[in-house]
Amino acid sequence: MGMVILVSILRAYILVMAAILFTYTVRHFIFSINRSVGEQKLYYQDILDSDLPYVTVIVPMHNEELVAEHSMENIANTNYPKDRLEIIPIEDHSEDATLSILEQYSEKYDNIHPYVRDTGARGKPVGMNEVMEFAHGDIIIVFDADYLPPKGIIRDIAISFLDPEVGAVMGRVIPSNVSSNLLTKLLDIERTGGYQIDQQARYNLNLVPQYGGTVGGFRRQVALDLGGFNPSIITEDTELTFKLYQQGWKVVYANRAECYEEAPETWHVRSRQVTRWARGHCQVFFKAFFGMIKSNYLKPIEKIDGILLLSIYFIPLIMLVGLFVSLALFFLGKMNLFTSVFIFILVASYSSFGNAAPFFQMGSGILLDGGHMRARLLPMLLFSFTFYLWFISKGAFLAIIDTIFKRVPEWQKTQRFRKK
Amino acid sequence: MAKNPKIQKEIIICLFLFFCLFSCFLLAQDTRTADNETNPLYEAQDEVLYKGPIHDFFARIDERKDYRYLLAFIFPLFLIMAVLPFLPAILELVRKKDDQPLYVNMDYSKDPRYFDHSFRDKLLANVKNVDQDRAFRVTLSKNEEVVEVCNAANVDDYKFGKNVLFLEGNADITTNMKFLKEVYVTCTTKLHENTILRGILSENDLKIAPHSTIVRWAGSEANIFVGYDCNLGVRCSCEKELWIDLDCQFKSLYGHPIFTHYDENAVLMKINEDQKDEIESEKDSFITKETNLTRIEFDESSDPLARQNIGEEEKEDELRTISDSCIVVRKGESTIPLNSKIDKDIIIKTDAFINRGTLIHGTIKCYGTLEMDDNVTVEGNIFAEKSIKIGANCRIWGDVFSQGSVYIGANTEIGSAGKDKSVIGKHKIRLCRNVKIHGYLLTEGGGKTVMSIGSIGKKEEKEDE
Repeated sequence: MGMVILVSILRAYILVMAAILFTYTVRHFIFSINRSVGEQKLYYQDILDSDLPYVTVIVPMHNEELVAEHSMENIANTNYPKDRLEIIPIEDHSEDATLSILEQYSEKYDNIHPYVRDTGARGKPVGMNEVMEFAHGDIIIVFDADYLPPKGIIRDIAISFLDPEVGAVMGRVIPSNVSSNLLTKLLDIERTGGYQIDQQARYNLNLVPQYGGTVGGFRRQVALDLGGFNPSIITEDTELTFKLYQQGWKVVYANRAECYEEAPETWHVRSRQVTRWARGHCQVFFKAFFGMIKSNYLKPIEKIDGILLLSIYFIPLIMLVGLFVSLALFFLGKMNLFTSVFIFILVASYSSFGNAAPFFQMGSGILLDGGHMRARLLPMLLFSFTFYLWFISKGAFLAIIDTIFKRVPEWQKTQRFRKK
Repeated sequence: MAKNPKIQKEIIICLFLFFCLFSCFLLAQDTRTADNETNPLYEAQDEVLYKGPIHDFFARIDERKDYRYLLAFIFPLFLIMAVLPFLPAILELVRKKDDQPLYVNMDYSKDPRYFDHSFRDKLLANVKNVDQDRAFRVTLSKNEEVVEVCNAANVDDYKFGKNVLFLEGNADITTNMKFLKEVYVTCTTKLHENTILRGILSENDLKIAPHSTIVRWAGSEANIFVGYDCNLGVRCSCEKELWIDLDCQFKSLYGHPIFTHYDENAVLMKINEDQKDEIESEKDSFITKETNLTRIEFDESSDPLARQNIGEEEKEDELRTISDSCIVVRKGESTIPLNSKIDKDIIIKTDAFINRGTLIHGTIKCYGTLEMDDNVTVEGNIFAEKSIKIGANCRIWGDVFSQGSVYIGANTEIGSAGKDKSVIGKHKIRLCRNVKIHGYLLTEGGGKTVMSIGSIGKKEEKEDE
């Protein structure tokens, strides 16, 4: 009897997993079709308006001597009106030459005012909460330290806040070190799929584009009213996204607001990064799930997409468990589900068309960007799929442990690879 | 061969896989060869025309039920299928034909007069290189072009020419002229009827007579006056006033202001200063003047149920405030009553109609079609997910942005002198007479100056739905 119950549970797990994978497959297929041939929604970058909002640009930094000068040089040379702009790089417990670099820029430019944190807890959310209290800007724009913002990007991001419903804006991230190795090439392809297709399609369809926290902005007062950033959550951008949606604000995606970033160049660094992202995202899942369902500001389709977005970093863990479940069923001789081949097809289709979605989202994105030869690298995503299956599952698992035991994860920064 | 050690490792792995594949194939061949000599099947099939390995293979299976051959065939086939997709990837890793980051223009900034300034800067930077034939070379749009320098008085001699023209003096381009390349004029330019130009920049006033066509762009450092039934190409921009007559087509306009003046004579004359002062005083008197109609206050303190026509079935709790400065209106078709005064931003989740005389101190965002009656004032921006129809004699102080179409009624003014504001309609823009826009106008579809919005007809309105 116990065996029968166990087998039933295992089979039910396989069927539920298949249904979930199928849902994501359909979702990403729709996104790819919409982005490729559907009507594209205008973003606000074409609006020419003399009355631009006052903006505070924040650049969190911890031991960023390799990249600080490049990002500060780019931000300082923006074409945004200087009388409506202040730049606050946050020097957060650095032990290298970051502070001296910031001081040089502070002397050179009147509107650059470094904020030094050498006491208290370290971390991006904590630093941003402190800066938001005294910043003068109505709009906060955040760049990560390794980013290279073009001249016009601050205006392109700030202009969207003329729309009274916009709470946050996210731009497009483009790796600058694509040619370094196979990993950076694969990350470039992933970014293409994620931004050019996924984010843009969600914007077109009035679903739930996400604020990513690295090249984007939000309304300062709204963020303060929502309680600021939670220091115990390592993906403060995801938390802000869902808080905004729950309170009736919108997040828009600016495909034209492109910014170079530095992608990790070693698999080890990438593993830490993606584990951190998965952990933080899953933390937000536990905090925001019921809020999304209960929110009166969201349409049903927005709720569904929001929940699918919230759950996305659990999928590798579900698949990993599913592999073991299917093995167990096989050795128990109970893998005679009519869906056995069906499951295989679904798993294969998911790894092709679902979360990784190489042949739909990434392939479409590469073509839209005008690239062709890099599409040849799509099969190489099989390696990163296996890689992510483990490390994202690890991050999701850690998030479950964090939630059960109310553990606060330690803030980590991504290692930089730029040459001095 | 790549010198990158990481790629060399990857290549070695692929070679190893090929080695395994090849080994399996050899194994299958050896097995077949060893058995060939004693295989009665071969003796019996001397008459068979084709005795290839595939025939042998299946024959052996049928006869001996020996599935080693099946495995020896299927396994290599599987390896081929598995490895084949990686071959182009390995080629790309080695050859690196597409391994540069996506190009991002780091110096890009929004400039409605980009074409004009870029064109002029390139010409003026290279004009000093003029040769004895009074020509010089410059790169435009990635192509090297020959620029001929000539007296503007002789411009008629250069029609149908294949070179860019640099005209010194006032250019008076006669009727039915056609220029296949761009034209730069150092002084005033006048295009007579039926002129076709690819692109033109005039340092002084640019006057375009009726029925003319600009294929790409037209620009002026002073004023532009456009006669009726002209096509203004992709962009028409100037530093001062841009006057446009009836039935003109456009995609992008920029001027201070853009003014639809349906008077052929007036197009060729400057707007006078007295007329400007009248417009300003009208605004002040409209707000403060007494009217015969009762002004209904639409603010947070009012009982929502007492307001008429705000959606027949709306309930109080559906009017949600997402911030201290914003009201959200839901359900049904929302109509803002006559002569309302709203002191907040307003977000309307469906179609909306704003009755005449309404004054809104804030921004409007509408998820459906937004229609405004005559004499509405909005001291803010207007956003709509569908079309925006602005009535006559309206005053909009901010931007107008629509994912659908924009229709602007007669005598409506958008923006204010000294500031740039924008009108953007994804599908199309229609401007009636005496519309004044201070700044920028853009549509992906087509823009047109029309006699009235009503004359468009229901078909075009339905296309927006």
